[in-house]
Amino acid sequence: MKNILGKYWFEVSVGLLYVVLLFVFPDKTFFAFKEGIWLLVKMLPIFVCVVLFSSFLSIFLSPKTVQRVMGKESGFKGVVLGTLFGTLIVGPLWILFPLYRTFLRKGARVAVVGAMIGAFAIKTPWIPYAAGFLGWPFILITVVLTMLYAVLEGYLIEKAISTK
Amino acid sequence: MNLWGAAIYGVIVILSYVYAFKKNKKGGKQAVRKSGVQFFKQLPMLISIFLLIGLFDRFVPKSVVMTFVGKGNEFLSILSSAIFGTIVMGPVSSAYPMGALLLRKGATITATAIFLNSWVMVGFVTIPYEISIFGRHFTLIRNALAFMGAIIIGILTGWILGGIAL
Repeated sequence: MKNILGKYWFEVSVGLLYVVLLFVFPDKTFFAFKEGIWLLVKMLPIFVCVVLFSSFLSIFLSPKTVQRVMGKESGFKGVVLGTLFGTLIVGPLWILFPLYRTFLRKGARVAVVGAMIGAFAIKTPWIPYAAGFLGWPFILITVVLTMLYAVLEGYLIEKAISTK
Repeated sequence: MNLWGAAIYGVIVILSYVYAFKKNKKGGKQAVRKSGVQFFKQLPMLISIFLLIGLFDRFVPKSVVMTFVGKGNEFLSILSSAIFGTIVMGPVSSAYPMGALLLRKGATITATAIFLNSWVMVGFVTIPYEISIFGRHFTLIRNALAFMGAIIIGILTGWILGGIAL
């Protein structure tokens, strides 16, 4: 029981919140529920696509390939490729920390890994989904700016670490 | 509103799976299975997030949102959206609808962009874990840079979009 609560504390809290509010403001809460479910139904097709595409990438994009193109000799090209690769990954960032450490240990440049983590903020599979909510101009500008910043971030991290 | 995105996406997914099954049948099947697992693992969270958004929309008055992330106080809106985005943690699937809701409730584009950027770029809760992997130096530099980046990118986004609108 405690385990379930720990794992689903968020879901349980929302559920409890609804039960309480339903007693105090039945009409308003019912509308809130309807709105939430309607939003969910509208985004489900894209969500299914996101999940399918991420799984495809996680199985068919081998880390070996990635390691080959972002070693020390890769130069600026490696940093750019690292950035592009970073945009392809989805999932919580912290799950990938060990993967990034592997890259570093296998001889990837700090700048490449730094840029990759920076570019992780762009989740390519999610872009159409995000655009559905915020509009294409908003998303495209954010994507371009974030990529530029990721490259810069990679170099800055590398510089800061090497001058330590 | 998601029709176009879904259509383009559907085509990409179909193509990638055609490729997958042609190249490696076992891998393709594995990807499908993994997708199923991921879908059901994330579904409870997703449902709750959308229900919470429904509540937020019905119960939080526009004036409250305006105070913190509205046009009135530019500096406060930048600061509060950056801090708010840094603290919250959750799947991006919930970040975007949340951002859209903030916009509708009167938040500025800049504040919304900063909120979303810091949500995905800075990991406040996971900092101890990040230190255990990369060391203190790397982690602090990365998060500081990400925090600044979130604000800079947000301000530029607001500036560019505002320019287009004008």
